[in-house]
Amino acid sequence: MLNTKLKHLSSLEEINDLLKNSQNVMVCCGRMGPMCIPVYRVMEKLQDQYPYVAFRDMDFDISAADFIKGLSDCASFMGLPFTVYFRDGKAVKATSSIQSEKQVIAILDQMFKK
Amino acid sequence: MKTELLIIGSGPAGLQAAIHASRRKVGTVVVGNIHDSSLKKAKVENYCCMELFSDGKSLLEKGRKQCEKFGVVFLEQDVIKVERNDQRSFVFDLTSGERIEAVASVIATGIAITKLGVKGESEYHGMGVSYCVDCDAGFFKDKRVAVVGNGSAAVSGALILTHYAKEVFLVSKALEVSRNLESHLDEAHVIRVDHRWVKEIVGQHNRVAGLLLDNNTCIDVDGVFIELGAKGALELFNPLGISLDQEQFRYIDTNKKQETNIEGLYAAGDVCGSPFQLAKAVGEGCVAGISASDYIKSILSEIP
Repeated sequence: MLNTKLKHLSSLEEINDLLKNSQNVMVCCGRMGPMCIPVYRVMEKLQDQYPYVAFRDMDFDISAADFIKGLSDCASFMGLPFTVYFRDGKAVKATSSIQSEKQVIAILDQMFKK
Repeated sequence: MKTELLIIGSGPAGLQAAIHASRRKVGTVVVGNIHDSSLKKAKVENYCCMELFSDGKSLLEKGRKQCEKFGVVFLEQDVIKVERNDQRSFVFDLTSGERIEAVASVIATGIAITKLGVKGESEYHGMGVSYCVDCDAGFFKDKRVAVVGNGSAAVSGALILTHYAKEVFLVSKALEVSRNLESHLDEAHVIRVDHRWVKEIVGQHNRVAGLLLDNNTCIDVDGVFIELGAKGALELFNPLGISLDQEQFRYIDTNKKQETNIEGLYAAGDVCGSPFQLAKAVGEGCVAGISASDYIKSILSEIP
Protein backbone atom coordinates (compact mmCIF):
# COMPACT_ATOMS: atom_id res chain seq x y z
CA MET A 1 0.00 0.00 0.00
CA LEU A 2 1.34 3.41 -0.91
CA ASN A 3 1.61 5.84 1.95
CA THR A 4 0.13 8.92 0.27
CA LYS A 5 -2.89 11.18 0.70
CA LEU A 6 -4.07 10.24 -2.79
CA LYS A 7 -6.85 7.82 -3.57
CA HIS A 8 -5.35 4.47 -4.51
CA LEU A 9 -6.23 2.26 -7.46
CA SER A 10 -6.00 -1.40 -6.50
CA SER A 11 -7.93 -3.36 -9.12
CA LEU A 12 -8.66 -3.41 -12.81
CA GLU A 13 -12.34 -2.79 -12.05
CA GLU A 14 -11.46 0.40 -10.22
CA ILE A 15 -9.35 1.58 -13.14
CA ASN A 16 -12.10 0.85 -15.66
CA ASP A 17 -14.73 2.58 -13.50
CA LEU A 18 -12.53 5.62 -13.09
CA LEU A 19 -11.75 5.92 -16.78
CA LYS A 20 -15.41 5.45 -17.63
CA ASN A 21 -16.67 8.05 -15.16
CA SER A 22 -13.95 10.71 -15.14
CA GLN A 23 -13.01 12.84 -18.11
CA ASN A 24 -9.56 13.82 -16.85
CA VAL A 25 -7.39 11.37 -14.93
CA MET A 26 -3.76 11.37 -13.76
CA VAL A 27 -2.39 8.06 -12.46
CA CYS A 28 1.04 7.71 -10.90
CA CYS A 29 2.16 4.08 -10.72
CA GLY A 30 5.19 3.54 -8.52
CA ARG A 31 6.66 2.58 -5.18
CA MET A 32 7.59 4.55 -2.08
CA GLY A 33 10.99 5.46 -3.51
CA PRO A 34 12.91 8.72 -3.90
CA MET A 35 11.89 9.15 -7.54
CA CYS A 36 8.19 8.43 -6.87
CA ILE A 37 7.51 10.29 -3.62
CA PRO A 38 8.07 13.79 -5.06
CA VAL A 39 5.51 13.04 -7.82
CA TYR A 40 2.90 11.85 -5.28
CA ARG A 41 3.53 15.00 -3.21
CA VAL A 42 3.06 17.20 -6.27
CA MET A 43 -0.23 15.42 -7.03
CA GLU A 44 -1.42 15.81 -3.42
CA LYS A 45 -0.65 19.51 -3.62
CA LEU A 46 -2.38 20.02 -6.98
CA GLN A 47 -5.59 18.15 -6.12
CA ASP A 48 -7.36 21.29 -4.86
CA GLN A 49 -6.10 23.42 -7.75
CA TYR A 50 -7.39 20.97 -10.36
CA PRO A 51 -10.80 19.80 -9.10
CA TYR A 52 -11.69 18.66 -12.63
CA VAL A 53 -8.85 16.11 -12.64
CA ALA A 54 -8.99 12.78 -10.78
CA PHE A 55 -5.58 12.19 -9.16
CA ARG A 56 -4.79 8.57 -8.28
CA ASP A 57 -1.78 6.47 -7.39
CA MET A 58 -1.17 2.78 -7.88
CA ASP A 59 1.33 0.33 -6.41
CA PHE A 60 3.70 -0.77 -9.20
CA ASP A 61 3.86 -4.32 -7.82
CA ILE A 62 0.17 -5.28 -7.83
CA SER A 63 -1.30 -7.22 -10.72
CA ALA A 64 -3.64 -4.36 -11.69
CA ALA A 65 -0.54 -2.29 -12.48
CA ASP A 66 -0.09 -4.47 -15.58
CA PHE A 67 -2.73 -2.22 -17.12
CA ILE A 68 -0.37 0.77 -16.87
CA LYS A 69 2.78 -1.23 -17.73
CA GLY A 70 1.08 -2.65 -20.80
CA LEU A 71 0.11 0.69 -22.35
CA SER A 72 1.95 1.38 -25.59
CA ASP A 73 2.83 4.84 -24.24
CA CYS A 74 4.86 3.12 -21.51
CA ALA A 75 6.58 0.57 -23.76
CA SER A 76 9.99 2.24 -23.61
CA PHE A 77 9.82 3.29 -19.94
CA MET A 78 12.67 2.18 -17.68
CA GLY A 79 12.28 4.42 -14.67
CA LEU A 80 9.82 4.67 -11.80
CA PRO A 81 7.21 6.02 -11.51
CA PHE A 82 5.12 5.55 -14.65
CA THR A 83 2.72 8.49 -14.77
CA VAL A 84 -0.14 8.41 -17.26
CA TYR A 85 -2.66 11.11 -18.13
CA PHE A 86 -6.03 9.95 -19.50
CA ARG A 87 -8.64 12.07 -21.26
CA ASP A 88 -12.03 10.54 -22.06
CA GLY A 89 -10.68 7.12 -21.16
CA LYS A 90 -7.65 7.26 -23.44
CA ALA A 91 -4.01 7.77 -22.53
CA VAL A 92 -2.95 11.13 -23.96
CA LYS A 93 0.43 11.58 -22.27
CA ALA A 94 2.83 9.48 -20.19
CA THR A 95 6.08 10.18 -18.38
CA SER A 96 8.72 7.98 -16.78
CA SER A 97 10.75 8.74 -13.63
CA ILE A 98 10.64 11.81 -11.39
CA GLN A 99 8.86 14.93 -12.62
CA SER A 100 8.86 18.39 -11.11
CA GLU A 101 5.73 20.31 -10.14
CA LYS A 102 6.39 22.61 -13.10
CA GLN A 103 6.50 19.68 -15.52
CA VAL A 104 3.30 18.17 -14.10
CA ILE A 105 1.45 21.51 -14.26
CA ALA A 106 2.57 22.02 -17.85
CA ILE A 107 1.06 18.66 -18.83
CA LEU A 108 -2.16 19.20 -16.85
CA ASP A 109 -2.67 22.61 -18.44
CA GLN A 110 -1.89 21.32 -21.91
CA MET A 111 -3.95 18.14 -21.78
CA PHE A 112 -6.91 19.00 -19.59
CA LYS A 113 -9.30 21.90 -19.91
CA LYS A 114 -11.54 23.19 -17.14
CA MET B 1 31.43 1.85 17.04
CA LYS B 2 29.00 3.90 19.10
CA THR B 3 28.64 7.64 19.37
CA GLU B 4 26.05 10.06 20.67
CA LEU B 5 25.74 12.29 17.60
CA LEU B 6 26.62 11.47 14.01
CA ILE B 7 26.73 14.38 11.58
CA ILE B 8 26.60 13.56 7.88
CA GLY B 9 28.46 16.21 5.92
CA SER B 10 31.46 18.35 6.75
CA GLY B 11 30.48 21.61 5.11
CA PRO B 12 29.67 24.74 7.14
CA ALA B 13 26.35 23.42 8.50
CA GLY B 14 27.89 20.14 9.65
CA LEU B 15 30.96 21.80 11.16
CA GLN B 16 28.89 24.37 13.05
CA ALA B 17 26.58 21.65 14.37
CA ALA B 18 29.66 19.70 15.49
CA ILE B 19 31.15 22.71 17.27
CA HIS B 20 27.97 23.34 19.27
CA ALA B 21 27.39 19.68 20.10
CA SER B 22 30.98 18.97 21.13
CA ARG B 23 31.14 22.08 23.32
CA ARG B 24 28.11 20.66 25.12
CA LYS B 25 30.15 17.53 25.80
CA VAL B 26 28.22 15.40 23.35
CA GLY B 27 30.30 12.67 21.68
CA THR B 28 30.31 13.72 18.03
CA VAL B 29 31.42 12.02 14.83
CA VAL B 30 31.39 13.83 11.48
CA VAL B 31 31.24 11.65 8.37
CA GLY B 32 32.21 13.30 5.09
CA ASN B 33 35.01 15.02 3.31
CA ILE B 34 35.55 18.77 3.27
CA HIS B 35 36.66 18.44 -0.35
CA ASP B 36 33.05 17.57 -1.25
CA SER B 37 31.66 20.82 0.16
CA SER B 38 30.51 23.36 -2.39
CA LEU B 39 32.08 25.99 -0.14
CA LYS B 40 35.55 24.62 -0.94
CA LYS B 41 35.66 26.39 -4.28
CA ALA B 42 33.80 29.50 -3.19
CA LYS B 43 35.14 32.96 -2.49
CA VAL B 44 33.32 34.35 0.52
CA GLU B 45 32.50 38.03 0.48
CA ASN B 46 29.10 38.26 2.11
CA TYR B 47 29.63 36.66 5.50
CA CYS B 48 29.16 38.93 8.49
CA CYS B 49 32.23 40.19 10.37
CA MET B 50 34.79 38.78 7.95
CA GLU B 51 37.58 41.31 7.85
CA LEU B 52 38.76 40.30 4.39
CA PHE B 53 37.44 37.92 1.86
CA SER B 54 38.31 34.38 2.50
CA ASP B 55 38.45 31.34 0.34
CA GLY B 56 36.10 28.51 1.20
CA LYS B 57 38.81 25.89 1.44
CA SER B 58 40.71 27.65 4.22
CA LEU B 59 37.45 28.33 6.09
CA LEU B 60 36.60 24.64 6.03
CA GLU B 61 40.08 23.62 7.14
CA LYS B 62 39.94 26.08 10.04
CA GLY B 63 36.47 24.80 10.94
CA ARG B 64 37.69 21.22 11.06
CA LYS B 65 40.64 22.13 13.29
CA GLN B 66 38.27 24.03 15.58
CA CYS B 67 36.02 20.97 15.82
CA GLU B 68 38.94 18.63 16.50
CA LYS B 69 40.03 20.91 19.36
CA PHE B 70 36.68 20.15 21.00
CA GLY B 71 37.06 16.42 20.49
CA VAL B 72 35.06 15.86 17.30
CA VAL B 73 36.09 12.73 15.38
CA PHE B 74 36.19 13.02 11.56
CA LEU B 75 35.75 10.04 9.26
CA GLU B 76 36.50 10.82 5.62
CA GLN B 77 33.91 8.41 4.25
CA ASP B 78 30.35 8.38 3.00
CA VAL B 79 27.23 6.91 4.54
CA ILE B 80 25.68 4.31 2.25
CA LYS B 81 22.79 3.10 4.40
CA VAL B 82 20.83 4.21 7.46
CA GLU B 83 18.56 2.12 9.62
CA ARG B 84 16.55 2.81 12.72
CA ASN B 85 18.00 0.42 15.30
CA ASP B 86 15.16 0.98 17.77
CA GLN B 87 13.21 4.10 18.71
CA ARG B 88 16.31 5.47 20.45
CA SER B 89 19.15 5.06 17.94
CA PHE B 90 20.22 4.91 14.29
CA VAL B 91 22.75 2.63 12.62
CA PHE B 92 24.87 3.96 9.74
CA ASP B 93 26.78 1.81 7.24
CA LEU B 94 29.90 3.53 5.94
CA THR B 95 31.87 2.96 2.76
CA SER B 96 34.66 1.38 4.86
CA GLY B 97 32.26 -1.37 5.89
CA GLU B 98 32.18 0.05 9.42
CA ARG B 99 28.84 0.44 11.26
CA ILE B 100 28.22 3.29 13.64
CA GLU B 101 25.36 3.49 16.10
CA ALA B 102 24.25 6.98 17.18
CA VAL B 103 21.50 8.35 19.41
CA ALA B 104 20.85 11.26 17.06
CA SER B 105 21.98 12.54 13.69
CA VAL B 106 22.25 15.80 11.78
CA ILE B 107 21.89 15.65 8.00
CA ALA B 108 24.15 18.31 6.53
CA THR B 109 24.93 16.69 3.20
CA GLY B 110 24.28 19.76 1.08
CA ILE B 111 22.75 19.23 -2.31
CA ALA B 112 24.68 17.38 -4.94
CA ILE B 113 24.67 18.22 -8.60
CA THR B 114 23.01 15.14 -9.98
CA LYS B 115 23.02 15.83 -13.71
CA LEU B 116 25.81 15.23 -16.18
CA GLY B 117 24.63 17.99 -18.49
CA VAL B 118 25.35 16.10 -21.70
CA LYS B 119 23.38 15.63 -24.90
CA GLY B 120 20.75 12.91 -24.64
CA GLU B 121 20.48 13.04 -20.84
CA SER B 122 17.14 14.85 -20.60
CA GLU B 123 15.80 13.26 -23.77
CA TYR B 124 16.25 9.72 -22.48
CA HIS B 125 15.47 10.36 -18.80
CA GLY B 126 13.21 7.49 -17.78
CA MET B 127 13.98 5.69 -21.03
CA GLY B 128 17.33 4.28 -19.91
CA VAL B 129 18.77 7.29 -18.09
CA SER B 130 18.27 6.92 -14.35
CA TYR B 131 19.42 8.70 -11.21
CA CYS B 132 18.42 5.96 -8.77
CA VAL B 133 19.85 2.44 -8.82
CA ASP B 134 17.61 1.31 -5.96
CA CYS B 135 14.53 2.44 -7.89
CA ASP B 136 15.28 1.27 -11.41
CA ALA B 137 17.77 -1.62 -11.31
CA GLY B 138 14.94 -4.10 -11.91
CA PHE B 139 14.30 -2.71 -15.39
CA PHE B 140 17.78 -3.78 -16.50
CA LYS B 141 17.70 -7.51 -15.84
CA ASP B 142 20.14 -9.25 -18.23
CA LYS B 143 20.89 -5.97 -19.97
CA ARG B 144 24.09 -3.94 -20.40
CA VAL B 145 24.33 -0.87 -18.20
CA ALA B 146 26.83 1.80 -17.31
CA VAL B 147 27.21 3.75 -14.10
CA VAL B 148 28.81 7.18 -14.31
CA GLY B 149 30.45 8.79 -11.31
CA ASN B 150 33.58 9.15 -9.24
CA GLY B 151 32.33 8.54 -5.72
CA SER B 152 30.79 5.99 -3.41
CA ALA B 153 27.31 6.27 -4.92
CA ALA B 154 28.65 5.15 -8.31
CA VAL B 155 30.57 2.19 -6.89
CA SER B 156 27.78 0.96 -4.62
CA GLY B 157 25.35 1.43 -7.53
CA ALA B 158 27.56 -0.63 -9.86
CA LEU B 159 27.81 -3.38 -7.24
CA ILE B 160 24.03 -3.54 -6.85
CA LEU B 161 23.57 -3.65 -10.62
CA THR B 162 25.80 -6.73 -10.93
CA HIS B 163 22.88 -8.66 -9.39
CA TYR B 164 20.59 -7.58 -12.23
CA ALA B 165 22.44 -6.69 -15.42
CA LYS B 166 24.55 -9.04 -17.52
CA GLU B 167 27.30 -6.44 -17.93
CA VAL B 168 28.06 -3.42 -15.78
CA PHE B 169 30.49 -0.68 -16.82
CA LEU B 170 31.73 1.95 -14.38
CA VAL B 171 32.79 5.13 -16.13
CA SER B 172 34.87 7.44 -13.97
CA LYS B 173 37.24 10.30 -14.48
CA ALA B 174 39.02 9.83 -11.15
CA LEU B 175 37.52 7.31 -8.77
CA GLU B 176 37.75 8.42 -5.12
CA VAL B 177 36.40 5.75 -2.80
CA SER B 178 37.50 3.86 0.27
CA ARG B 179 39.83 0.89 -0.09
CA ASN B 180 37.06 -1.35 1.21
CA LEU B 181 34.62 -0.30 -1.50
CA GLU B 182 37.29 -0.52 -4.18
CA SER B 183 38.16 -4.07 -3.12
CA HIS B 184 34.48 -5.04 -3.47
CA LEU B 185 34.59 -3.54 -6.94
CA ASP B 186 37.65 -5.60 -7.85
CA GLU B 187 35.91 -8.79 -6.73
CA ALA B 188 32.72 -8.04 -8.66
CA HIS B 189 32.31 -8.36 -12.39
CA VAL B 190 32.31 -4.64 -13.04
CA ILE B 191 34.12 -3.43 -16.14
CA ARG B 192 36.01 -0.30 -15.17
CA VAL B 193 36.39 2.48 -17.70
CA ASP B 194 38.83 4.72 -15.84
CA HIS B 195 39.98 8.23 -16.75
CA ARG B 196 37.07 8.70 -19.13
CA TRP B 197 33.90 10.75 -19.05
CA VAL B 198 30.65 10.85 -20.99
CA LYS B 199 30.34 13.16 -23.98
CA GLU B 200 26.87 12.09 -25.11
CA ILE B 201 24.14 9.60 -24.29
CA VAL B 202 23.13 8.03 -27.57
CA GLY B 203 19.64 6.74 -28.18
CA GLN B 204 17.78 4.66 -30.70
CA HIS B 205 14.06 3.90 -31.00
CA ASN B 206 13.24 6.15 -28.03
CA ARG B 207 15.67 4.36 -25.69
CA VAL B 208 19.28 4.60 -24.60
CA ALA B 209 21.57 2.66 -26.94
CA GLY B 210 25.06 3.72 -25.90
CA LEU B 211 27.50 6.12 -24.35
CA LEU B 212 29.87 8.23 -26.37
CA LEU B 213 32.98 8.86 -24.30
CA ASP B 214 35.42 11.76 -24.36
CA ASN B 215 37.93 9.71 -26.41
CA ASN B 216 35.18 9.26 -29.04
CA THR B 217 34.76 5.56 -28.33
CA CYS B 218 31.26 4.24 -27.78
CA ILE B 219 30.00 1.67 -25.28
CA ASP B 220 26.79 -0.11 -26.24
CA VAL B 221 24.47 -0.06 -23.23
CA ASP B 222 20.73 -0.24 -22.58
CA GLY B 223 20.89 2.06 -19.61
CA VAL B 224 23.01 4.59 -17.82
CA PHE B 225 22.86 5.39 -14.12
CA ILE B 226 24.17 8.81 -13.21
CA GLU B 227 25.48 8.61 -9.67
CA LEU B 228 27.64 11.64 -8.97
CA GLY B 229 29.14 12.11 -5.50
CA ALA B 230 27.77 10.40 -2.41
CA LYS B 231 24.27 9.05 -1.84
CA GLY B 232 21.84 11.89 -1.42
CA ALA B 233 19.90 12.57 1.76
CA LEU B 234 16.61 11.66 0.12
CA GLU B 235 17.89 8.25 -0.96
CA LEU B 236 19.41 7.57 2.46
CA PHE B 237 16.47 8.69 4.58
CA ASN B 238 13.51 7.89 2.35
CA PRO B 239 13.21 4.39 3.83
CA LEU B 240 12.75 5.99 7.25
CA GLY B 241 9.89 8.14 5.91
CA ILE B 242 11.48 11.57 6.01
CA SER B 243 9.24 14.52 5.11
CA LEU B 244 10.11 16.88 2.31
CA ASP B 245 9.37 20.57 1.86
CA GLN B 246 5.87 21.41 0.66
CA GLU B 247 7.01 23.68 -2.16
CA GLN B 248 9.37 21.67 -4.30
CA PHE B 249 9.54 18.30 -2.51
CA ARG B 250 13.30 18.30 -3.01
CA TYR B 251 14.50 19.48 0.37
CA ILE B 252 14.15 18.16 3.91
CA ASP B 253 11.37 19.75 5.91
CA THR B 254 12.40 21.02 9.35
CA ASN B 255 10.93 23.18 12.08
CA LYS B 256 12.63 26.07 13.88
CA LYS B 257 14.68 23.62 15.96
CA GLN B 258 15.91 22.01 12.72
CA GLU B 259 14.02 18.86 13.72
CA THR B 260 12.79 16.63 10.91
CA ASN B 261 9.62 14.57 11.26
CA ILE B 262 11.76 11.67 12.56
CA GLU B 263 12.63 11.74 16.25
CA GLY B 264 16.34 12.26 16.82
CA LEU B 265 16.99 13.33 13.24
CA TYR B 266 17.92 16.95 12.41
CA ALA B 267 18.86 18.69 9.17
CA ALA B 268 20.75 21.88 8.38
CA GLY B 269 22.15 23.83 5.45
CA ASP B 270 21.48 23.54 1.73
CA VAL B 271 19.72 20.18 2.16
CA CYS B 272 16.88 22.19 3.80
CA GLY B 273 16.49 24.46 0.78
CA SER B 274 17.41 27.93 -0.40
CA PRO B 275 18.96 30.45 0.05
CA PHE B 276 22.16 28.47 -0.46
CA GLN B 277 24.32 30.76 1.62
CA LEU B 278 27.11 30.22 4.10
CA ALA B 279 25.35 32.37 6.72
CA LYS B 280 22.17 30.29 6.58
CA ALA B 281 24.10 27.01 6.71
CA VAL B 282 26.08 28.12 9.75
CA GLY B 283 22.93 29.39 11.52
CA GLU B 284 21.00 26.22 10.90
CA GLY B 285 24.02 24.11 11.87
CA CYS B 286 24.20 25.95 15.19
CA VAL B 287 20.51 25.33 15.92
CA ALA B 288 20.72 21.67 14.82
CA GLY B 289 23.79 21.07 17.01
CA ILE B 290 22.12 22.57 20.07
CA SER B 291 18.76 20.85 19.47
CA ALA B 292 20.40 17.47 18.88
CA SER B 293 22.51 17.88 22.03
CA ASP B 294 19.43 18.69 24.14
CA TYR B 295 17.65 15.66 22.68
CA ILE B 296 20.59 13.34 23.36
CA LYS B 297 20.88 14.54 26.96
CA SER B 298 17.17 14.01 27.55
CA ILE B 299 17.33 10.50 26.12
CA LEU B 300 20.45 9.55 28.08
CA SER B 301 18.98 10.92 31.32
CA GLU B 302 16.06 8.51 30.94
CA ILE B 303 18.39 5.50 30.83
CA PRO B 304 18.85 4.15 34.39
